Amino acid sequence: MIENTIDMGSAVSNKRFLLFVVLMASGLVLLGICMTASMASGPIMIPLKHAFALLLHHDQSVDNTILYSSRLPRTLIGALAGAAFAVSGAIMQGISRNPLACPSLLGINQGAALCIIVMLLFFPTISTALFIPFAFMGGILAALLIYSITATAGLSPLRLALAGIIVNALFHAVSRGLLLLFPDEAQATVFSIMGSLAGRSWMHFNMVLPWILIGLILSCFCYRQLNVLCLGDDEAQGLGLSAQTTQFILMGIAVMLAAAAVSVVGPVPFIGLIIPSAIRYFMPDYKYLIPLSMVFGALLLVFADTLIRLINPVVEIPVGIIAALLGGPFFVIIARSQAKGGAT
Amino acid sequence: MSEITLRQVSVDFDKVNIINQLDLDLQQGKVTTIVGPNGSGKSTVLKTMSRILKPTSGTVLLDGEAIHRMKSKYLAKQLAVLPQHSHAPEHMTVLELVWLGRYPHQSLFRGRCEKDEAAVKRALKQTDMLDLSHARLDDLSGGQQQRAWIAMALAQDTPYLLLDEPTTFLDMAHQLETLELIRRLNRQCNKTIVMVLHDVNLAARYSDELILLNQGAVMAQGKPADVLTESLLQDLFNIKVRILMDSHTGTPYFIPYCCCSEEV
Repeated sequence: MIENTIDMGSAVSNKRFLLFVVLMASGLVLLGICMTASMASGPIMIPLKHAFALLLHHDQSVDNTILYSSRLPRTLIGALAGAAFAVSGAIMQGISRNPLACPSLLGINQGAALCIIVMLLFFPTISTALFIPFAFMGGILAALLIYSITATAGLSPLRLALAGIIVNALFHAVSRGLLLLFPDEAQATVFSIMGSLAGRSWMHFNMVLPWILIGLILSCFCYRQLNVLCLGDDEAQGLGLSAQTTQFILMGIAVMLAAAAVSVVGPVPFIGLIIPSAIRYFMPDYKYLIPLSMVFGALLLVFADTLIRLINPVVEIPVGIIAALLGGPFFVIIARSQAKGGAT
Repeated sequence: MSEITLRQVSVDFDKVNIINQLDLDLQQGKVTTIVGPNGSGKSTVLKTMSRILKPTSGTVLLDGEAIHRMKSKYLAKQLAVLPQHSHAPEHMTVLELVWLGRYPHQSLFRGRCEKDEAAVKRALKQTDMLDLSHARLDDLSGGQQQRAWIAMALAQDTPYLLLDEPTTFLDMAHQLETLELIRRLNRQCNKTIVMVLHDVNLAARYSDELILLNQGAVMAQGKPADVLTESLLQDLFNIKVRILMDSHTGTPYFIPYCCCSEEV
């Protein structure tokens, strides 16, 4: 009898694993398609077939130049940033046990963005290598603010969301104020208030690649800790995990990922909320949740960025607005399902 | 032989002193239950024993070793603890929860092995959860959820099991079911059990030892039949009671009559 049930037990984990493989494979295929479409779209449309061929073999055409000088880095940055936002959100939701936690709602993105704006306005000559460390400091500042607001009152979903709104509004107001005070210099910083991928180049890609790569790799190794933390601080402690230290380190990784992404694409909202929450429904296990968040986060941002260039290739809508349009309804769905869960 | 020992332990919480210089000896292989009125520090004592709370002074010894000097994972292999009303993340299955009990036995370079699998299976079997192992926790009844959490603690494979009010929010049948399970784990699997219970009658029935706690101090400790007296319960809970002997189980139980304050 036991033997039978063992099989049943592993059959269940096999089912999850199978679902993971299916989701991962379809996510990667979709990401491939979306990235090709992204490289084809813009003021000068490159036929999809040609775009794909160019990826395999260079040629002397104008398309080749456009693709390699601007579309490819833009697409790659979009994929990296999307993955970073989604994984950052997945981690934050895990350590706060709060489905509404994500870098945009907690004000981490705005904190990082404010620091970028300050840098661009007041130290325009400073080395770009300092961009991400600066953005990281802004993100940490926001995280500390959130922590100090919620520390005494506890981390209920609603409180966290409210604290996030306060911190967000604060940073947003300061950012806006700065841009109004320095209208001439503001043009260069517009991405960091709305979130946009326009004009991103290889320089930006090289700047952000190591940070995001390290963050993503680290987060893949932390799935056990995240799974245990999801049970609760005391429960984690009982299982031999020092909850506070681990939360602190993981929050550092999450803020680093979000800050790195913000420093190249600006505070694109909601990706860190939508993607992990949706995947969690099928895959609560962080072993699968983190890699899937990466792929689908990348997919969502590249998709949104392609969409805006198809809508109006000349005057681009900032990608942050598309993300907000997609994320708004989703936020309501999560909040409602939370309210239902809380009532029972 | 005494295996969990508290020596001069004081605990402050939010700068309020909850426990003051408490000495306590708990015996191995027994079911020991801490009872007392609200705010007497029952949970605090349990949390201090399991290192969830750090005492402001004094030491907690496990098999003669100070737990605050142990590595977290080492302690988690000696002592499993179930805090009060735990909530599993949404969509998690019983099996996934029970697997988390193996966390202290795993490391970055040591993934799942046969020993882990055997422990998980054993825990599911002991709690009679094998048939439900693939069910989502959200879909289970309160009693089944509690069994799943106990299974997780069992998968930790520890000689000590600490439970904070394992019967809260359960109806009468599920309370008995859970306590029967706990006693079975003690009798058959040789686990040393320490728990906090609200219901003194149930505690008297299922425990080898009772610890009566009041304002962070031990008022009495010993076999239920020895420590439960009418005058003590009157002092402890401020109620008038009568103590009877249940001939069926051979354990004492009491009937509360009225609040002392009401009578005056």
